[in-house]
Amino acid sequence: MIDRPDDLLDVPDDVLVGRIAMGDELAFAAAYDRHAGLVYGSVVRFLGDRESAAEIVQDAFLSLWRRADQFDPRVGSLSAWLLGIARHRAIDRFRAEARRAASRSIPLSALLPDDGRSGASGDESPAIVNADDEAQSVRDPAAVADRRWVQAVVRNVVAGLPVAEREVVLLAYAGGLSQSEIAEHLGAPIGTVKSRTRRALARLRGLLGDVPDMIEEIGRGATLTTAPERATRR
Amino acid sequence: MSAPEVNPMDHAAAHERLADLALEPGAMERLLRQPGGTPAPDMGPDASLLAHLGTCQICTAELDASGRLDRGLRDALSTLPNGERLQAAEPPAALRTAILAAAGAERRAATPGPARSTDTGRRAWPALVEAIARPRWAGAIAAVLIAALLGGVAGSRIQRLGGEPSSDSLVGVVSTVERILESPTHRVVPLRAASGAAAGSVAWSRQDFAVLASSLAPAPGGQVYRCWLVWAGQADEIGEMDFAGSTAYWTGTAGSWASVTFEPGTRFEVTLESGPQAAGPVGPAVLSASLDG
Repeated sequence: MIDRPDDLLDVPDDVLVGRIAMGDELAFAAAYDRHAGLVYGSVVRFLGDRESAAEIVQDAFLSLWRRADQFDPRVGSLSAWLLGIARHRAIDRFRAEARRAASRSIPLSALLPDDGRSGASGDESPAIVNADDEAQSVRDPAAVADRRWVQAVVRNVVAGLPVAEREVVLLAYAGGLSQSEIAEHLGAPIGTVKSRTRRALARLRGLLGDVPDMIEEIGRGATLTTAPERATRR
Repeated sequence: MSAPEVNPMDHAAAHERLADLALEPGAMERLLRQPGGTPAPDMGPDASLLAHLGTCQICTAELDASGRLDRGLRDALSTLPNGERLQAAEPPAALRTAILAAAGAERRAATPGPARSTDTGRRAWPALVEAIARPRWAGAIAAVLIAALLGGVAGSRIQRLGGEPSSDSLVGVVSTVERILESPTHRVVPLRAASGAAAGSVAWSRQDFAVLASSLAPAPGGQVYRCWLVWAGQADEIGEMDFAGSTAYWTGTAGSWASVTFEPGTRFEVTLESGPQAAGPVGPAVLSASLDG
């Protein structure tokens, strides 16, 4: 007998959504438990605002509750569907905030964090863009918002990795260390570091590949500006 | 002068080489910059990999996907502040409670019944969630213990919403919450478990009071969760928690001659009680909220 959301842990998303469309509250709770962290964390990182994130998560999940019958798993995954709603709402808010900031004659640079030198703290800092983004935002503000969104989602997914895997990914991609340098830094065998990194990358591909166009957007976003090469970061 | 002939790697070796390249940020991109399938003379060991890629759609797709992930990770992570260690951002427990309760209330409201419309649930709960998410409780409540018309203690002024059939109970909560949120002076404060963990919320206006809890397990047989207003060393029982699915709730409304106001220092508490009603709480406090925080 199913009487708790945990009883539905192994039920695929499309089955859950089918049950939600029939008004099954336990299935809805299970879907929330499964995906709320992804949606909430992504929006928090995008907007840097927990209150707005909570409102957007609410919108996304109540949309699922009301329109579950419109979900088509052949088109995309449930996480993609929820993230799509959240992205739309979050970017609307981001643009509205940008307009308000502009109307107050605050330079856009004050709204867009710099390339990490600002000391923005913690996991709630909005997605941080490179310095070139300010100029890019003038040319193509939609592209900048899209890029910030993808950065936020990627950071959120990385944040959800097991600690050991997150550590090697951050040392490689944020710290610019090679596998052998990571091994030396951690005092761990190179084989251990490589296997952790492989597991992490496989997990990330699974999680991000679950979102249609996410990988495409990652690639597209990354071409907006050139991320610093490892050699220049050391 | 033509480029020297390069023998393509076999598929297994190419797959392994791609996996190795994926471990080094930027390595995929550097490989992708080479014209696929036409290795330059100085490409070294990857010349034969590129030669293989020119003939193998599987490995080309693998290279493509890994390369995009690599660029995405570099774009998202290379701009992190130095020393930034990403931590997971968990949604607040009260948000889950409110969203699930909203969904349940909508479903019940959509079921034909007397004097209820679907609009009630659809409008009220998003507003509730918004209110719960928005820390409007930041300002201290400058409250005075209940308007003096009827005298007595705060608890006695809050009349339990009676006569709601249980199947309609959450719709009753919706109505109460909707009234609360329409009040410009309404307040929402977090409800906490004994451990200090977030466990729900308490919302009130001058006329209504609503409690929603997400982490309360149904009371063991013969026991009940009693709700109390506690201040200045005394406690007044205002009712018992009800359940709708996994959501525990309590609502009350003041009579037409009274209003819901609290003295500074007033707390709302839920205790687990097994005995008959007593003048004060006997069992352990399982939930509490400061009503002036």
